[in-house]
Amino acid sequence: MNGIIDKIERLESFNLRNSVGRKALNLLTFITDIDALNEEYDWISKVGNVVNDVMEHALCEIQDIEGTIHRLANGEVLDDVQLYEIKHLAIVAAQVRNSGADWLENLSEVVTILDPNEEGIDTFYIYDSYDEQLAEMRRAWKEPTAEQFAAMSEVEDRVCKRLSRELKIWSTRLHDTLTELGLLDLRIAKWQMAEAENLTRPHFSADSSTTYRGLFNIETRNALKSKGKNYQAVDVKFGNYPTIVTGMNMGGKTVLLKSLVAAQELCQYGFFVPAAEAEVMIVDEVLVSIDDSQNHLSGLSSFAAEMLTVDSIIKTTERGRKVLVLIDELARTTNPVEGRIIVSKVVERLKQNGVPSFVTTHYDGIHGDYRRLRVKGLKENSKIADISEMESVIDYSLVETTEEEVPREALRVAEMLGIKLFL
Amino acid sequence: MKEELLKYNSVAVVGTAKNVGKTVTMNYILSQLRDCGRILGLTSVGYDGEGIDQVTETAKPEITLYDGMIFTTAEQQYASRRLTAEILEISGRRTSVGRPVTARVKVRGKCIISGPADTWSLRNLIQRYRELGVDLTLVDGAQSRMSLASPTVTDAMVLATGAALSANIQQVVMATRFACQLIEIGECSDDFKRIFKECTKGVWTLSEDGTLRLTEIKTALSGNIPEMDGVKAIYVSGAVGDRFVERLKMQNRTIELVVGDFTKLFLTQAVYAQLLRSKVHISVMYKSRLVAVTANPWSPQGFTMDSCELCDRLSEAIGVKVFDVKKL
Repeated sequence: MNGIIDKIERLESFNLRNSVGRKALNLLTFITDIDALNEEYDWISKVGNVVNDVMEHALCEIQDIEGTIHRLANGEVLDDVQLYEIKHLAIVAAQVRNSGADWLENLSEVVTILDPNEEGIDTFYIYDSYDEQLAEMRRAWKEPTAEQFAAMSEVEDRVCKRLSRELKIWSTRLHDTLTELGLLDLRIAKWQMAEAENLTRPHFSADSSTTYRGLFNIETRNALKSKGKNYQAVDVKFGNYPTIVTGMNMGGKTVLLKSLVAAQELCQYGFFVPAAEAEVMIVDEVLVSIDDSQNHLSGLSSFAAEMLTVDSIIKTTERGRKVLVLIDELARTTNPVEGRIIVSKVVERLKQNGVPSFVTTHYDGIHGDYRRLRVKGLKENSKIADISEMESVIDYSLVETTEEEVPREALRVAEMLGIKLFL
Repeated sequence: MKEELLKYNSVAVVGTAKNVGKTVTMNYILSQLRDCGRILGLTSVGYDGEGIDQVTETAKPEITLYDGMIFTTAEQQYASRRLTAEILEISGRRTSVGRPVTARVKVRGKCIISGPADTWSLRNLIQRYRELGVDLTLVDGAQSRMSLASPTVTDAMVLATGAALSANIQQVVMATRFACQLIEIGECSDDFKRIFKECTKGVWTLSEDGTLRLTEIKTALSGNIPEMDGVKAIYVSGAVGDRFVERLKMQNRTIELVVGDFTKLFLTQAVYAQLLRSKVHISVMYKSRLVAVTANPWSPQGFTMDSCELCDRLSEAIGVKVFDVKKL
């Protein structure tokens, strides 16, 4: 399963009410069509306006009866359990529709077929009123013998056959309704997640650039919040070129990259994004080299694994696909002399290919006319009593710089962490 | 038996062994209650592999249901029913024999009943039945599932016993009396109830000075017992086994052993007898109510006991009236 979907599912604020909603979630794809995305965002807002307790409660009752609808469409005879399922769906769909989802199909005729006594409840059996002969049999045989029971079953089967035939023309609309109910459930979940996490509807840029104001990382912010701490959101803009990001250790460079990945993916999977304002350029793919932990099992050294990943990223960018690339601390596991050369080569290639990309590094002396961002880092005269206060003395905001030198704060950070060796 | 049953909201029918006439007992109860003017609900500890008897590979017997009764069974069993019923609900939970279907009987007939097997689902179902207007829920239990007769699940129980337990009448009487003894264990004092109510997992000790302590002992199924100095009561939230009780008894101290209810006791007759003679006093947080005992003189091995003798001796041993299922 897709990483971003897994992360969304782990959020407390994201809740689906039924299995068709889950199905809709699993069918989500990375959308590259701006019109389709805008349409999805319009839907989320629309659903957000109409959602209410009655609707949510009714949605909890929905079960995935795709198999039964499929049988109906194929002309099979449904039994009473399956007819009950159809009736239940039609009645619950009507509840959802009446509670505000007025775009849903009107299935009142399905209910009429399956509720001959107009009871208006979602229970079902082969009612006496369906067949005069059946009614007579039931009146006559209060304690039916096996033969009598078989005779009644025969008549019931006849009724089932008739009902299935009458309902067949509704199979497409029943199918569509079930799909719509799944989408509705998913969109309610998207809306509620956006409300709870303070997400914003992204807009799409006319020029080839992305601008976030107040970009944040949902998980990191929530983790800090639970400790009563504040998260410093950042402003960031980029276009079809690489950006070298430098800054102190613990300066939030990795979190920045992860935030950029999450925002791009959320946006293109049709979710609102974690920022105060967002103007996003659409890409075909997001490729990352952020941590190599999953490669240990393949028997590669962390350096080899990283090189293979980066190589595959570069190749993809040269296949004519528009890719957002995020590489964290490129070549950090080798010596700085050669590491610097690797970083220079990769950044140069990304520039030649016009790839929107971010590369974080601690190496200085990456020569060339590149766009560079630096995390501001330690505030003036900052002192802390405990590691847990570290983030209070760091300014995480990003500043444009032309310096090829990187900040030298590693020893100070280590000292602040209380590591005796450096005191 | 009818008036006694109607006092409760839920009653479990459990057997001391297989083929002791549980189904006959259930069918008898249902026929007795058919015109009582109350809404009856029925379920059976069934699916998750118990649609078919795993030991004898015979299908679970059919139960006769009467008009207006509400029952829950697996989709597969529902499809092969021989009665007319109105479907009320189908649960979303899927099992090997299909989803549980809850329905109301329109025309009487027979059906294999095979409802949820775990106590959590059973408790939910009993709750759901109440919402559907059911006055009394009857639970048909599996022999190995005494847990559903726990007072935390059902209010009262009917115990079925019989010749299937042993060929020796004396053995049947002894084993049944033992089962009844456990069921009849008295409740602890209200003070203890109040104190232990909050104790969830684990083995707890209560000292003379009123200090409540969670011990490091993970389970009372092994021979590890807590430090006993100054302890006046031990509360075990889970199951209690022979070795724990034997070790406790050997300490020769006056102490009260409190368990949740009788279904938590996994003791052999001999160890329980020793316990009764020791300084350890056993009590439960929730006592079960035994409505009736039924006996089946017929054994699947082919012999039949003298049913009068069986019932008389059982009645004498356990002090309640025993019904002969063959005469029900």
